[in-house]
Amino acid sequence: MIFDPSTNFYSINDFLIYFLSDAANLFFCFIFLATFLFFNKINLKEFFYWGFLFFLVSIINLFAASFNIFPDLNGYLFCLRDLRDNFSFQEAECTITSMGSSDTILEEDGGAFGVFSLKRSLPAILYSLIPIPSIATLSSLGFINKIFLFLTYLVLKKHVIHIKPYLNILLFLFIFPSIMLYSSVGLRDNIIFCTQVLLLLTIFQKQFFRSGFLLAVLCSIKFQNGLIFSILFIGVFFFKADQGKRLFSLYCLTILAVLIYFHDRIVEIINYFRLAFLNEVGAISPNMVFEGYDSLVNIILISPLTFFNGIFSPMPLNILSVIFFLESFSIVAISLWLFSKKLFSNSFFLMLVFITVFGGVVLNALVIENDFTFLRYKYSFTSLFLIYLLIDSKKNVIN
Amino acid sequence: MISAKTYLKYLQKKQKRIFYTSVAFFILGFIFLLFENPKYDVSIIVNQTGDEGYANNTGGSALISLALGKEASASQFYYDFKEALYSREVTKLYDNKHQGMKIFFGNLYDEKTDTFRPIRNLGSILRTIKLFFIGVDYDSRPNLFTLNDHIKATVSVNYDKFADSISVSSSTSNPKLIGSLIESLIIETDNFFKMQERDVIQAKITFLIEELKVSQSISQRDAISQILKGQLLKQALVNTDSLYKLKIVRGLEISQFPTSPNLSFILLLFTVFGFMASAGFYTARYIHIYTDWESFFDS
Repeated sequence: MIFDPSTNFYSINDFLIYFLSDAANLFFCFIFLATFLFFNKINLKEFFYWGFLFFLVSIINLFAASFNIFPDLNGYLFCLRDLRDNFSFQEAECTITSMGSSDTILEEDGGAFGVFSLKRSLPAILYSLIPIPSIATLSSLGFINKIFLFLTYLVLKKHVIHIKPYLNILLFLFIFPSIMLYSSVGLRDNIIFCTQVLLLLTIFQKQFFRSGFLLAVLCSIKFQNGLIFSILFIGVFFFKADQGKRLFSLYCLTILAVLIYFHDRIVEIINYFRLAFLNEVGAISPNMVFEGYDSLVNIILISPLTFFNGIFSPMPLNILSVIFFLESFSIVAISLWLFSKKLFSNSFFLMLVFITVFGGVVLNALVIENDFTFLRYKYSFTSLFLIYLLIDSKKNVIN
Repeated sequence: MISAKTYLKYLQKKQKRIFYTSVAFFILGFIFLLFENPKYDVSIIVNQTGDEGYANNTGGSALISLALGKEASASQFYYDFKEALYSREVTKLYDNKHQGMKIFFGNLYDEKTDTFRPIRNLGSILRTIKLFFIGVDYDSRPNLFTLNDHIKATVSVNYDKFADSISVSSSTSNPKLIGSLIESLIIETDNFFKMQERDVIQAKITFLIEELKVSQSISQRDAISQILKGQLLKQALVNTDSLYKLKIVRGLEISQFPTSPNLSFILLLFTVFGFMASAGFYTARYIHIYTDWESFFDS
């Protein structure tokens, strides 16, 4: 992987270098795809389909990177270069949780507990596993992200019934605007999405060690998502909540008890992150009075409404939000269609998956003010329910 | 029939061509280097003035940090300095005093109409398309926003945590112009800090003078006059042309030799592109030759 140590990254202003770097990466991705074609892992149609998706990475990045749509886009490339330069992370921004980062939460007594986070370093390590020819532009990480998404597709494909509507839905999933957008830019959200999909699959297959490892990876990259997924993990492996009404009820009661016991801390953390997100969009002034959520009961009461609002958010106000609204609508429609087929094998597991998706969407909707930041955080949850219905259908269709 | 074995055999047959293409692009890279403009490093090292207790002098962002449960750290000044230097207020100050718009966009200036002509390049076309989708009209004529974007793209600000100093630098093919831009920006950033504090200091002085008038006790009057003295000194400093919040640790330096283009990077990039393009071309050709297209289209 080549890069210029004297320049952070090349933008479209250095057109020739930008073009050569992107084209070299695109050719690499085509050859990578072709290898799977030669080993009969994909057919020619899939080859062209994914080839087109890889081509779109260049186009999307032209718009996304050139106009600074994602200000933190440079962070992961910066850490990847740090890793390549020093064979370890030397830059403060790339190391494990440091005091004063947004993951450090101040306690009432003045102490602080740091949340374990490798949010930049672990994605950088994962990105370094793909020998992409050039990391001179921001779109380089977009190509790596798309490769990760393609590999996730290959894993999923094995577990989806190979008849037309199901395989087509799976293929259709990867051209949903948010999945297509976030897997084409150099952000960690795609790695989070892929990890969550694989985690769901391994939990569904009751592979304890693999899911434990993936949960640890998820917690390291994005702690709050790991926390939400631990509901599914603990429910399946420790409470066996997917194996009967009694065990499921017992698990739900345990969750409720935990929520009640830690209600103050939970509200405090939700308010903390809400404040942090308000600060990020510049909605905080020194004289403002911040009114956070006052109790967990209130949060639970408004959560169904927050969930429905969150699922369809952003509301169609301009062309861009209409596209994402249609996507949300399509995901709900396809999920309901698959659900109506009643092909799922285990309704308790399905409920656990739904609780996880519900928790993920609600928690993000409670704290995030910006519509497009919310979209970025929610997309890794919304399509999970659909993916679960797809992989669970295989069992029943075969039987 | 497509298979990994036949593909490798096909590539083996074409390995010479792939090699020659890579060499050809290596040579092209060398030619490209000959026509590239050399770029020089320009930098200034600054720090906050020692007598200003910045941590005690909390501004808005420090309050936010405290609200978010963080201490105003030693590097707080760096963040405030960076925000100020990249702010539109400083850009406006720079343009007013140094005619920044005309320096950087003078070729687009129309003296007859006293306006700037629109910028025509790929970036402006892409931006027009992007804004069209969200229903906003885009005018590519340079303005203060454009100058501000240009400053952000040209000048970088970095903090050295070990030396506790701030480096304002740039890699440019016009080191004299950018050097003068950096120097002017530092002065205007300091002026911006001065402007922010001028009113506060004046208010403090007025208050202290009023207190001094009504105060009877000698010790109280002594304490107030000490504080007043400090504020008057600050006011004197704020009203002069000397730097108020900033200290130049090391003045403007321009590298003796060009630091860009990076020879090895450019040559490697061209060679890698040549290799990947030729390997990609022969892979596509292999797929084209060995695929049964009739059955593909039938399916």
